[in-house]
Amino acid sequence: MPTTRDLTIPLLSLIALAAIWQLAAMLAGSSLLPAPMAVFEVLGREVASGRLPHHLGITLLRLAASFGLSMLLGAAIGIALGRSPRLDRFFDSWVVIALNIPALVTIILCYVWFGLVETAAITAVVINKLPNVIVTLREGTRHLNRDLLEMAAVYRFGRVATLRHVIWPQLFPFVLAAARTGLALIWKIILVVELLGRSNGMGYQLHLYFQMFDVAGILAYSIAFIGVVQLIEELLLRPLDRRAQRWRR
Amino acid sequence: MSGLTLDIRRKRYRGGPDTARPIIENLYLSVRPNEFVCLVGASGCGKTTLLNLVAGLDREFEGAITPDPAGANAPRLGYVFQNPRLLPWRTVRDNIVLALPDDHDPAYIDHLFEIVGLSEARAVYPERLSVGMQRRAALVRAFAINPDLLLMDEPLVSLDPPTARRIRELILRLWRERPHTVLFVTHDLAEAIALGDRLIFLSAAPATVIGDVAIPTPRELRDTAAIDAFGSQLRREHRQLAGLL
Repeated sequence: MPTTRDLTIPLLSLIALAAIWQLAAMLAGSSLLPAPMAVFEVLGREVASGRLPHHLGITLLRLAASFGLSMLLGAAIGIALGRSPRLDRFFDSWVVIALNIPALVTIILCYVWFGLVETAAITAVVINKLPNVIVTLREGTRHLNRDLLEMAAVYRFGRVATLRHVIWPQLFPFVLAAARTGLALIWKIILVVELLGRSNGMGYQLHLYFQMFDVAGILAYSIAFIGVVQLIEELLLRPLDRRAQRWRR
Repeated sequence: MSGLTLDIRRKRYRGGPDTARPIIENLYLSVRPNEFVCLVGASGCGKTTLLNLVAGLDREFEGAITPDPAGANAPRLGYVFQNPRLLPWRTVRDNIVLALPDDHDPAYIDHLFEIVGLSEARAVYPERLSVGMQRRAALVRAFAINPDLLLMDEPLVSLDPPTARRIRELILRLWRERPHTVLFVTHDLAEAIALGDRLIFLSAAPATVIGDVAIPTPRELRDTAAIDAFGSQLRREHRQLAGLL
Protein backbone atom coordinates (compact mmCIF):
# COMPACT_ATOMS: atom_id res chain seq x y z
CA MET A 1 0.00 0.00 0.00
CA PRO A 2 1.57 3.34 -1.06
CA THR A 3 1.82 5.95 1.69
CA THR A 4 0.38 8.79 -0.39
CA ARG A 5 -2.80 7.86 -2.18
CA ASP A 6 -3.89 9.62 -5.33
CA LEU A 7 -6.53 12.06 -4.14
CA THR A 8 -7.45 13.61 -7.49
CA ILE A 9 -10.59 11.59 -8.14
CA PRO A 10 -12.07 11.76 -4.62
CA LEU A 11 -11.39 15.48 -4.56
CA LEU A 12 -13.03 16.04 -7.94
CA SER A 13 -16.06 14.05 -6.84
CA LEU A 14 -16.42 16.15 -3.68
CA ILE A 15 -16.23 19.35 -5.74
CA ALA A 16 -18.89 17.96 -8.08
CA LEU A 17 -21.12 17.20 -5.11
CA ALA A 18 -20.70 20.74 -3.78
CA ALA A 19 -21.47 22.14 -7.23
CA ILE A 20 -24.71 20.16 -7.49
CA TRP A 21 -25.64 21.33 -4.01
CA GLN A 22 -24.89 24.95 -4.94
CA LEU A 23 -26.97 24.66 -8.10
CA ALA A 24 -29.89 23.08 -6.25
CA ALA A 25 -29.73 25.82 -3.59
CA MET A 26 -29.76 28.53 -6.26
CA LEU A 27 -32.74 26.94 -8.02
CA ALA A 28 -34.65 26.49 -4.76
CA GLY A 29 -33.86 29.99 -3.52
CA SER A 30 -35.16 29.15 -0.06
CA SER A 31 -33.72 29.19 3.46
CA LEU A 32 -34.84 25.54 3.66
CA LEU A 33 -32.00 24.61 1.32
CA PRO A 34 -29.05 26.90 2.12
CA ALA A 35 -26.01 27.07 -0.16
CA PRO A 36 -22.75 25.37 0.89
CA MET A 37 -21.09 28.65 1.89
CA ALA A 38 -23.96 29.56 4.22
CA VAL A 39 -23.70 26.20 5.92
CA PHE A 40 -19.95 26.51 6.38
CA GLU A 41 -20.46 29.96 7.87
CA VAL A 42 -22.78 28.47 10.48
CA LEU A 43 -20.30 25.69 11.05
CA GLY A 44 -17.49 28.20 11.67
CA ARG A 45 -19.64 30.23 14.01
CA GLU A 46 -20.73 27.19 16.03
CA VAL A 47 -17.14 25.95 16.33
CA ALA A 48 -15.89 29.39 17.38
CA SER A 49 -18.60 29.78 20.00
CA GLY A 50 -17.61 26.44 21.47
CA ARG A 51 -21.16 25.10 21.24
CA LEU A 52 -20.43 22.51 18.59
CA PRO A 53 -17.24 21.13 20.23
CA HIS A 54 -19.14 20.91 23.53
CA HIS A 55 -22.06 18.90 22.17
CA LEU A 56 -19.88 16.85 19.86
CA GLY A 57 -17.61 16.01 22.80
CA ILE A 58 -20.53 14.81 24.90
CA THR A 59 -21.83 12.66 22.09
CA LEU A 60 -18.34 11.23 21.54
CA LEU A 61 -18.08 10.35 25.23
CA ARG A 62 -21.41 8.54 25.09
CA LEU A 63 -20.27 6.84 21.93
CA ALA A 64 -17.01 5.66 23.50
CA ALA A 65 -18.75 4.35 26.62
CA SER A 66 -21.50 2.47 24.82
CA PHE A 67 -19.17 1.22 22.09
CA GLY A 68 -16.64 -0.08 24.62
CA LEU A 69 -19.28 -1.75 26.75
CA SER A 70 -21.07 -3.43 23.87
CA MET A 71 -17.83 -4.66 22.30
CA LEU A 72 -16.58 -6.18 25.57
CA LEU A 73 -19.90 -7.75 26.56
CA GLY A 74 -20.71 -8.85 23.02
CA ALA A 75 -17.29 -10.43 22.51
CA ALA A 76 -17.51 -12.34 25.80
CA ILE A 77 -21.01 -13.64 25.06
CA GLY A 78 -20.25 -14.32 21.39
CA ILE A 79 -17.12 -16.33 22.20
CA ALA A 80 -18.97 -18.30 24.86
CA LEU A 81 -21.79 -19.14 22.44
CA GLY A 82 -19.34 -20.00 19.68
CA ARG A 83 -17.49 -22.42 21.92
CA SER A 84 -20.48 -24.21 23.42
CA PRO A 85 -23.10 -25.60 21.03
CA ARG A 86 -25.43 -26.34 23.95
CA LEU A 87 -25.35 -22.78 25.23
CA ASP A 88 -25.82 -21.57 21.68
CA ARG A 89 -28.86 -23.78 21.10
CA PHE A 90 -30.48 -22.34 24.22
CA PHE A 91 -29.67 -18.68 23.66
CA ASP A 92 -29.96 -18.56 19.89
CA SER A 93 -33.61 -17.52 19.96
CA TRP A 94 -32.81 -14.78 22.48
CA VAL A 95 -30.21 -13.40 20.12
CA VAL A 96 -32.64 -13.51 17.20
CA ILE A 97 -35.28 -11.65 19.22
CA ALA A 98 -32.73 -9.07 20.38
CA LEU A 99 -31.58 -8.55 16.78
CA ASN A 100 -35.13 -7.74 15.71
CA ILE A 101 -36.27 -5.39 18.46
CA PRO A 102 -36.63 -1.96 16.85
CA ALA A 103 -34.06 0.50 18.20
CA LEU A 104 -36.80 2.96 19.09
CA VAL A 105 -38.54 0.41 21.32
CA THR A 106 -35.43 -0.26 23.43
CA ILE A 107 -34.78 3.45 23.74
CA ILE A 108 -38.32 4.21 24.89
CA LEU A 109 -38.39 1.29 27.29
CA CYS A 110 -35.02 2.22 28.81
CA TYR A 111 -36.21 5.77 29.44
CA VAL A 112 -39.53 4.53 30.84
CA TRP A 113 -37.90 2.00 33.15
CA PHE A 114 -34.76 3.85 34.24
CA GLY A 115 -35.88 7.47 33.86
CA LEU A 116 -34.35 10.18 31.68
CA VAL A 117 -30.81 9.58 32.94
CA GLU A 118 -27.40 8.95 31.43
CA THR A 119 -27.44 5.25 32.38
CA ALA A 120 -30.66 4.74 30.47
CA ALA A 121 -29.18 6.41 27.39
CA ILE A 122 -26.02 4.30 27.42
CA THR A 123 -27.95 1.10 28.19
CA ALA A 124 -30.29 1.72 25.26
CA VAL A 125 -27.38 2.09 22.85
CA VAL A 126 -25.58 -0.96 24.24
CA ILE A 127 -28.69 -3.14 23.93
CA ASN A 128 -29.10 -2.08 20.34
CA LYS A 129 -25.52 -2.85 19.42
CA LEU A 130 -24.94 -5.98 21.52
CA PRO A 131 -26.68 -8.67 19.42
CA ASN A 132 -24.74 -7.56 16.36
CA VAL A 133 -21.40 -8.04 18.14
CA ILE A 134 -22.52 -11.37 19.59
CA VAL A 135 -23.47 -12.76 16.20
CA THR A 136 -20.21 -11.64 14.55
CA LEU A 137 -17.94 -12.98 17.28
CA ARG A 138 -19.93 -16.20 17.56
CA GLU A 139 -19.31 -16.74 13.86
CA GLY A 140 -15.61 -16.03 14.30
CA THR A 141 -15.31 -18.43 17.21
CA ARG A 142 -17.09 -21.19 15.32
CA HIS A 143 -14.56 -20.86 12.53
CA LEU A 144 -11.47 -21.12 14.70
CA ASN A 145 -9.01 -23.43 12.99
CA ARG A 146 -8.99 -26.78 14.79
CA ASP A 147 -5.71 -27.84 13.23
CA LEU A 148 -3.91 -24.90 14.78
CA LEU A 149 -5.57 -25.41 18.16
CA GLU A 150 -4.41 -29.04 18.13
CA MET A 151 -0.92 -27.91 17.19
CA ALA A 152 -0.91 -25.51 20.14
CA ALA A 153 -2.07 -28.31 22.45
CA VAL A 154 0.62 -30.73 21.25
CA TYR A 155 3.38 -28.14 21.64
CA ARG A 156 2.03 -27.11 25.06
CA PHE A 157 1.51 -23.44 24.33
CA GLY A 158 -0.56 -23.02 27.49
CA ARG A 159 -3.72 -20.95 27.86
CA VAL A 160 -2.29 -17.46 27.57
CA ALA A 161 -0.05 -18.10 24.57
CA THR A 162 -2.82 -20.02 22.79
CA LEU A 163 -5.20 -17.11 23.31
CA ARG A 164 -2.67 -14.52 22.24
CA HIS A 165 -0.99 -16.23 19.30
CA VAL A 166 -3.55 -18.72 18.00
CA ILE A 167 -7.06 -17.52 18.87
CA TRP A 168 -6.82 -13.72 18.94
CA PRO A 169 -5.29 -13.32 15.44
CA GLN A 170 -8.16 -15.39 14.07
CA LEU A 171 -10.83 -13.40 15.92
CA PHE A 172 -9.32 -10.01 15.16
CA PRO A 173 -10.88 -9.58 11.69
CA PHE A 174 -14.27 -10.38 13.21
CA VAL A 175 -13.71 -7.89 16.02
CA LEU A 176 -12.80 -5.29 13.43
CA ALA A 177 -15.90 -6.08 11.37
CA ALA A 178 -18.06 -5.79 14.49
CA ALA A 179 -16.38 -2.48 15.32
CA ARG A 180 -17.02 -1.08 11.84
CA THR A 181 -20.67 -2.00 11.55
CA GLY A 182 -21.11 -1.20 15.23
CA LEU A 183 -19.76 2.28 14.94
CA ALA A 184 -22.04 3.06 12.02
CA LEU A 185 -25.02 1.71 13.96
CA ILE A 186 -24.21 3.51 17.21
CA TRP A 187 -23.71 6.84 15.47
CA LYS A 188 -27.25 6.67 14.21
CA ILE A 189 -28.91 5.38 17.35
CA ILE A 190 -27.11 7.68 19.75
CA LEU A 191 -28.66 10.74 18.09
CA VAL A 192 -32.15 9.37 18.56
CA VAL A 193 -31.35 8.58 22.19
CA GLU A 194 -30.20 12.16 22.75
CA LEU A 195 -33.12 13.59 20.89
CA LEU A 196 -35.62 11.71 23.04
CA GLY A 197 -34.23 12.07 26.51
CA ARG A 198 -31.06 14.14 26.92
CA SER A 199 -30.51 17.88 27.22
CA ASN A 200 -27.14 17.94 25.50
CA GLY A 201 -25.25 16.22 22.68
CA MET A 202 -25.56 16.32 18.91
CA GLY A 203 -29.02 14.77 18.90
CA TYR A 204 -30.31 17.42 21.27
CA GLN A 205 -28.85 20.21 19.13
CA LEU A 206 -30.35 18.75 15.96
CA HIS A 207 -33.70 18.58 17.70
CA LEU A 208 -33.36 22.25 18.63
CA TYR A 209 -32.59 23.28 15.05
CA PHE A 210 -35.46 21.13 13.81
CA GLN A 211 -37.89 23.03 16.04
CA MET A 212 -36.55 26.30 14.63
CA PHE A 213 -36.57 24.93 11.09
CA ASP A 214 -32.90 25.98 10.87
CA VAL A 215 -31.68 23.77 8.03
CA ALA A 216 -28.26 25.46 7.85
CA GLY A 217 -27.66 24.52 11.48
CA ILE A 218 -28.75 20.94 10.90
CA LEU A 219 -26.45 20.61 7.89
CA ALA A 220 -23.53 22.25 9.71
CA TYR A 221 -23.78 19.76 12.57
CA SER A 222 -24.13 16.88 10.11
CA ILE A 223 -20.95 17.90 8.31
CA ALA A 224 -19.02 18.05 11.56
CA PHE A 225 -20.36 14.63 12.36
CA ILE A 226 -19.40 13.09 9.03
CA GLY A 227 -15.93 14.55 9.39
CA VAL A 228 -15.38 12.93 12.77
CA VAL A 229 -16.59 9.54 11.53
CA GLN A 230 -14.18 9.74 8.61
CA LEU A 231 -11.34 10.64 10.95
CA ILE A 232 -12.02 7.61 13.15
CA GLU A 233 -12.12 5.41 10.08
CA GLU A 234 -8.89 6.78 8.61
CA LEU A 235 -6.85 7.17 11.79
CA LEU A 236 -8.01 4.16 13.76
CA LEU A 237 -9.81 1.43 11.87
CA ARG A 238 -7.87 1.47 8.62
CA PRO A 239 -4.41 1.24 10.23
CA LEU A 240 -5.68 -1.60 12.45
CA ASP A 241 -7.02 -3.35 9.40
CA ARG A 242 -3.71 -3.01 7.55
CA ARG A 243 -1.84 -4.30 10.58
CA ALA A 244 -4.06 -7.36 10.73
CA GLN A 245 -3.48 -8.06 7.04
CA ARG A 246 0.25 -7.65 6.85
CA TRP A 247 1.11 -11.36 6.99
CA ARG A 248 -1.06 -12.23 4.01
CA ARG A 249 0.45 -12.96 0.64
CA MET B 1 14.49 -42.06 26.79
CA SER B 2 10.94 -43.06 26.19
CA GLY B 3 9.56 -46.34 25.07
CA LEU B 4 5.92 -46.62 24.17
CA THR B 5 3.22 -49.22 24.57
CA LEU B 6 -0.08 -48.96 22.74
CA ASP B 7 -2.93 -51.21 23.75
CA ILE B 8 -5.97 -49.92 21.94
CA ARG B 9 -8.96 -52.19 22.23
CA ARG B 10 -11.41 -50.04 20.35
CA LYS B 11 -11.68 -46.56 18.87
CA ARG B 12 -14.74 -45.36 17.09
CA TYR B 13 -16.02 -41.93 16.10
CA ARG B 14 -19.27 -40.83 17.60
CA GLY B 15 -21.84 -39.22 15.40
CA GLY B 16 -20.11 -40.11 12.14
CA PRO B 17 -21.94 -41.82 9.28
CA ASP B 18 -20.31 -45.10 10.28
CA THR B 19 -20.84 -45.03 14.02
CA ALA B 20 -21.08 -48.74 14.58
CA ARG B 21 -17.79 -49.71 12.95
CA PRO B 22 -14.62 -49.00 14.91
CA ILE B 23 -11.69 -47.40 13.10
CA ILE B 24 -9.11 -49.14 15.31
CA GLU B 25 -9.62 -52.47 17.05
CA ASN B 26 -7.29 -54.65 19.18
CA LEU B 27 -4.15 -52.83 18.16
CA TYR B 28 -1.20 -53.75 20.32
CA LEU B 29 2.26 -52.32 19.74
CA SER B 30 5.34 -52.01 21.91
CA VAL B 31 8.13 -49.64 20.83
CA ARG B 32 11.63 -49.61 22.36
CA PRO B 33 13.26 -46.33 23.39
CA ASN B 34 14.84 -44.52 20.41
CA GLU B 35 13.40 -46.98 17.95
CA PHE B 36 12.41 -45.66 14.50
CA VAL B 37 9.12 -47.36 13.67
CA CYS B 38 7.33 -46.92 10.36
CA LEU B 39 3.59 -47.53 10.31
CA VAL B 40 2.49 -48.65 6.86
CA GLY B 41 -1.14 -48.88 5.82
CA ALA B 42 -3.56 -47.89 3.10
CA SER B 43 -4.98 -44.37 3.34
CA GLY B 44 -8.08 -44.13 5.46
CA CYS B 45 -7.10 -47.08 7.64
CA GLY B 46 -6.83 -45.00 10.81
CA LYS B 47 -3.14 -44.10 10.92
CA THR B 48 -3.74 -40.42 11.65
CA THR B 49 -6.36 -41.37 14.24
CA LEU B 50 -3.74 -43.57 15.89
CA LEU B 51 -1.20 -40.76 16.03
CA ASN B 52 -3.81 -38.40 17.51
CA LEU B 53 -4.45 -40.97 20.24
CA VAL B 54 -0.72 -41.23 20.97
CA ALA B 55 -0.46 -37.43 21.02
CA GLY B 56 -3.29 -37.21 23.53
CA LEU B 57 -5.38 -35.04 21.18
CA ASP B 58 -8.16 -37.62 21.15
CA ARG B 59 -8.98 -39.21 24.48
CA GLU B 60 -12.14 -41.10 23.58
CA PHE B 61 -11.05 -44.70 23.14
CA GLU B 62 -10.99 -47.97 25.03
CA GLY B 63 -7.55 -49.14 26.02
CA ALA B 64 -4.34 -47.66 27.33
CA ILE B 65 -1.26 -45.83 26.12
CA THR B 66 1.87 -45.89 28.30
CA PRO B 67 3.29 -43.48 29.20
CA ASP B 68 -0.03 -41.65 29.36
CA PRO B 69 0.17 -38.64 26.98
CA ALA B 70 -1.77 -36.51 29.47
CA GLY B 71 -0.01 -37.82 32.55
CA ALA B 72 2.70 -36.19 34.62
CA ASN B 73 5.55 -38.14 33.04
CA ALA B 74 4.27 -37.74 29.50
CA PRO B 75 7.06 -37.77 26.91
CA ARG B 76 8.05 -34.48 25.36
CA LEU B 77 6.24 -34.68 22.08
CA GLY B 78 7.05 -33.52 18.58
CA TYR B 79 4.33 -33.92 15.99
CA VAL B 80 4.80 -33.29 12.28
CA PHE B 81 1.26 -33.13 10.98
CA GLN B 82 0.23 -34.01 7.46
CA ASN B 83 -0.17 -30.30 6.71
CA PRO B 84 2.44 -27.93 8.15
CA ARG B 85 0.11 -26.18 10.62
CA LEU B 86 2.16 -23.01 10.99
CA LEU B 87 0.54 -19.85 12.35
CA PRO B 88 0.26 -17.70 9.21
CA TRP B 89 0.37 -14.45 11.24
CA ARG B 90 3.69 -15.24 12.88
CA THR B 91 7.05 -15.41 11.14
CA VAL B 92 8.68 -18.78 10.61
CA ARG B 93 11.08 -18.19 13.47
CA ASP B 94 8.32 -17.05 15.84
CA ASN B 95 6.36 -20.16 14.94
CA ILE B 96 9.21 -22.31 16.17
CA VAL B 97 10.09 -20.21 19.21
CA LEU B 98 6.46 -20.25 20.39
CA ALA B 99 6.61 -24.03 20.66
CA LEU B 100 9.76 -23.92 22.79
CA PRO B 101 10.29 -23.46 26.51
CA ASP B 102 11.69 -20.06 27.52
CA ASP B 103 15.13 -21.45 28.30
CA HIS B 104 15.74 -22.88 24.81
CA ASP B 105 19.07 -22.58 23.07
CA PRO B 106 18.78 -20.11 20.14
CA ALA B 107 21.98 -21.43 18.60
CA TYR B 108 20.44 -24.89 18.21
CA ILE B 109 17.42 -23.40 16.41
CA ASP B 110 19.71 -21.57 14.01
CA HIS B 111 21.63 -24.81 13.51
CA LEU B 112 18.38 -26.57 12.58
CA PHE B 113 17.38 -23.78 10.17
CA GLU B 114 20.82 -24.16 8.64
CA ILE B 115 20.47 -27.91 8.04
CA VAL B 116 17.01 -27.65 6.49
CA GLY B 117 18.14 -24.71 4.36
CA LEU B 118 15.69 -22.18 5.80
CA SER B 119 18.19 -19.71 7.27
CA GLU B 120 17.11 -17.06 4.77
CA ALA B 121 13.41 -17.58 5.41
CA ARG B 122 13.39 -17.17 9.19
CA ALA B 123 11.85 -13.69 9.20
CA VAL B 124 9.24 -14.49 6.54
CA TYR B 125 5.54 -15.18 7.03
CA PRO B 126 4.74 -18.83 6.22
CA GLU B 127 2.22 -18.13 3.47
CA ARG B 128 4.97 -16.53 1.41
CA LEU B 129 6.88 -19.83 1.35
CA SER B 130 6.37 -22.89 -0.84
CA VAL B 131 4.65 -25.89 0.73
CA GLY B 132 7.97 -27.73 0.76
CA MET B 133 9.59 -24.96 2.77
CA GLN B 134 6.61 -24.85 5.14
CA ARG B 135 7.01 -28.58 5.70
CA ARG B 136 10.67 -28.09 6.50
CA ALA B 137 9.75 -25.36 8.99
CA ALA B 138 7.29 -27.78 10.62
CA LEU B 139 10.11 -30.33 10.86
CA VAL B 140 12.35 -27.76 12.53
CA ARG B 141 9.61 -27.08 15.06
CA ALA B 142 9.26 -30.77 15.88
CA PHE B 143 13.01 -31.29 16.24
CA ALA B 144 13.65 -28.00 18.03
CA ILE B 145 11.76 -29.04 21.14
CA ASN B 146 14.18 -31.93 21.44
CA PRO B 147 11.41 -34.52 21.65
CA ASP B 148 11.43 -37.85 23.48
CA LEU B 149 8.79 -39.05 21.08
CA LEU B 150 8.38 -37.80 17.53
CA LEU B 151 5.20 -38.47 15.55
CA MET B 152 5.29 -37.91 11.82
CA ASP B 153 2.18 -38.17 9.69
CA GLU B 154 3.20 -38.58 6.03
CA PRO B 155 5.47 -35.54 6.22
CA LEU B 156 6.77 -36.11 2.68
CA VAL B 157 3.49 -36.52 0.86
CA SER B 158 2.99 -34.21 -2.16
CA LEU B 159 6.66 -33.21 -2.29
CA ASP B 160 8.63 -33.68 -5.50
CA PRO B 161 11.01 -36.68 -5.36
CA PRO B 162 14.31 -34.75 -4.94
CA THR B 163 12.89 -32.64 -2.10
CA ALA B 164 11.35 -35.71 -0.51
CA ARG B 165 14.72 -37.49 -0.64
CA ARG B 166 16.51 -34.49 0.87
CA ILE B 167 14.01 -34.23 3.72
CA ARG B 168 14.24 -37.99 4.30
CA GLU B 169 17.99 -37.68 4.73
CA LEU B 170 17.40 -34.73 6.98
CA ILE B 171 15.04 -36.64 9.23
CA LEU B 172 17.64 -39.38 9.68
CA ARG B 173 20.41 -36.88 10.27
CA LEU B 174 18.47 -35.05 12.97
CA TRP B 175 17.37 -38.34 14.52
CA ARG B 176 20.99 -39.52 14.73
CA GLU B 177 22.10 -36.18 16.19
CA ARG B 178 19.65 -36.50 19.05
CA PRO B 179 18.09 -39.96 19.21
CA HIS B 180 14.43 -40.26 20.14
CA THR B 181 11.54 -42.65 19.58
CA VAL B 182 9.84 -42.16 16.21
CA LEU B 183 6.46 -43.20 14.87
CA PHE B 184 6.51 -42.45 11.16
CA VAL B 185 3.26 -42.95 9.28
CA THR B 186 3.35 -43.55 5.54
CA HIS B 187 1.62 -45.46 2.77
CA ASP B 188 4.84 -45.59 0.74
CA LEU B 189 6.67 -48.87 1.36
CA ALA B 190 9.99 -47.75 -0.19
CA GLU B 191 10.02 -44.69 2.05
CA ALA B 192 9.34 -46.84 5.10
CA ILE B 193 12.13 -49.30 4.20
CA ALA B 194 14.57 -46.42 3.66
CA LEU B 195 13.87 -44.89 7.07
CA GLY B 196 12.78 -47.42 9.67
CA ASP B 197 14.33 -49.84 12.13
CA ARG B 198 11.09 -51.70 12.00
CA LEU B 199 7.96 -51.80 9.87
CA ILE B 200 4.49 -52.21 11.33
CA PHE B 201 1.78 -53.03 8.81
CA LEU B 202 -1.77 -52.01 9.59
CA SER B 203 -4.90 -53.56 8.13
CA ALA B 204 -7.70 -51.60 6.54
CA ALA B 205 -10.18 -50.16 9.07
CA PRO B 206 -10.64 -51.30 11.76
CA ALA B 207 -6.87 -51.00 11.98
CA THR B 208 -4.88 -53.71 13.70
CA VAL B 209 -1.28 -54.88 13.37
CA ILE B 210 -0.98 -57.50 10.63
CA GLY B 211 2.78 -57.49 10.16
CA ASP B 212 5.83 -56.60 12.25
CA VAL B 213 9.12 -56.74 10.36
CA ALA B 214 12.59 -55.60 11.51
CA ILE B 215 14.95 -54.24 8.84
CA PRO B 216 18.41 -55.66 9.51
CA THR B 217 20.19 -53.82 6.67
CA PRO B 218 22.19 -50.80 7.91
CA ARG B 219 20.76 -47.53 6.57
CA GLU B 220 23.93 -46.64 4.65
CA LEU B 221 23.45 -49.74 2.49
CA ARG B 222 19.81 -49.07 1.68
CA ASP B 223 20.09 -47.86 -1.91
CA THR B 224 17.26 -48.22 -4.42
CA ALA B 225 18.28 -51.78 -5.33
CA ALA B 226 18.46 -52.90 -1.71
CA ILE B 227 15.09 -51.31 -0.96
CA ASP B 228 13.51 -53.06 -3.96
CA ALA B 229 15.06 -56.37 -2.95
CA PHE B 230 13.75 -56.00 0.60
CA GLY B 231 10.32 -55.18 -0.79
CA SER B 232 10.17 -58.32 -2.92
CA GLN B 233 11.45 -60.39 -0.03
CA LEU B 234 8.55 -59.04 2.05
CA ARG B 235 6.12 -59.99 -0.68
CA ARG B 236 7.44 -63.58 -0.78
CA GLU B 237 7.60 -64.14 2.94
CA HIS B 238 4.50 -62.32 4.16
CA ARG B 239 1.50 -63.39 2.14
CA GLN B 240 -0.89 -61.73 4.60
CA LEU B 241 0.43 -58.32 3.50
CA ALA B 242 -0.46 -58.87 -0.15
CA GLY B 243 -3.01 -56.06 -0.15
CA LEU B 244 -0.50 -53.53 1.16
CA LEU B 245 2.54 -54.38 -0.92
